[in-house]
Amino acid sequence: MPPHDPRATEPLDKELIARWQRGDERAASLLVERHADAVGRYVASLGVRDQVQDVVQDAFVRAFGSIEGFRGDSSLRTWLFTIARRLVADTRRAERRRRGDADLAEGDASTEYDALDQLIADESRQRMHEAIGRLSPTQREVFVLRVSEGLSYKEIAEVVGTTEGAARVHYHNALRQVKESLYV
Amino acid sequence: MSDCANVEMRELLPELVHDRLDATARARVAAHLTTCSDCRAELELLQAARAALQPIMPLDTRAIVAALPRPKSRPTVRPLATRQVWRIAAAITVIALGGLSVNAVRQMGGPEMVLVDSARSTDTAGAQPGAVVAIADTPAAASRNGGMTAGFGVMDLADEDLEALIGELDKLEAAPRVDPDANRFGRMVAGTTGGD
Repeated sequence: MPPHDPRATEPLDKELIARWQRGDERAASLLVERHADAVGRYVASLGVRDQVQDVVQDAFVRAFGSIEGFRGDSSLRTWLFTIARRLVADTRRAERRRRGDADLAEGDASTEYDALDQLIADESRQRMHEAIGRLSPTQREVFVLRVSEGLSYKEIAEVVGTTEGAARVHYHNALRQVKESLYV
Repeated sequence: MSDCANVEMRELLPELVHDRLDATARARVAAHLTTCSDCRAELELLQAARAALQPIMPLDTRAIVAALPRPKSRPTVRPLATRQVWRIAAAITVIALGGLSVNAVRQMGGPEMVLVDSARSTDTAGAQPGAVVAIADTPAAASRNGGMTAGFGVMDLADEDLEALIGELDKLEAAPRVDPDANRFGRMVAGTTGGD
């Protein structure tokens, strides 16, 4: 079933990349405006709070710095997610080394994510945020990519580094858990 | 809130949220939603989750654009083009100066200067007694010897010769040669023949 894309009339990412490579800076602005918020949402879902702007900016800088390496097999957005994910992982690893901590896997990400709740005034929105915050990092990541960004399981598998089947299982487990948090 | 048994419909709900279904699929899902309260509730949950995940603080996209690197192809093209123009200008200047020098010598009424092909430079019998014989590479000789010519108009040069001249000028700019005899395109020997 071919997906319906309401942005079909807008220039494709590939066209904008080509225009930017020919020196059209406006094309770069369009690409940033098109994808920055999505990358920001994804980065926030990974538990990043204060440095969302920095991570998103770094992801774009790295992507544009090696744009020749972008083969177009996946979408530019998926590629940006992958780069942002790597940046967050690198930052956490460096922090762990600096602090001499043991493994910082699930716990810290959840704590950072919970801190976002303080900024959310709307009650129903806050409850939803809490429910998503209770998911495991992997479940939350998959859930955000599927629900908030509308990625396919194939694209999610590329970003997260797993299989399509595993991405589907994570999504349905996350959805069930969010339902339980909200309605039980 | 329970899960609908129709897994296919449930899989289409996130696509519906993002308006990525074609008309047929959208109609099918809409028909299903009229009869399935579980899917309606799930669709509402997905829409609420999407709304909750909107960014709290807007990103500064201008700062992101300003931080982007410049396209790699641009800086390599322009200076090359500029250098090419300078090379051609330098080549034309050298050629024009050569032509003017020959004219000046002729107008001074000095001994007649005869240009001969360097490949036949030993044959100066055709020159008048007392004439200055300049042995220069004509285009034909240059192409035989792989060398360059001097003292001819730019129209006399073939494309390959012009390219080669530009190449030689580049080399001169980069590392001037110490040995004047090795300067192939400036090869010119002038002398007075005995006329024998």
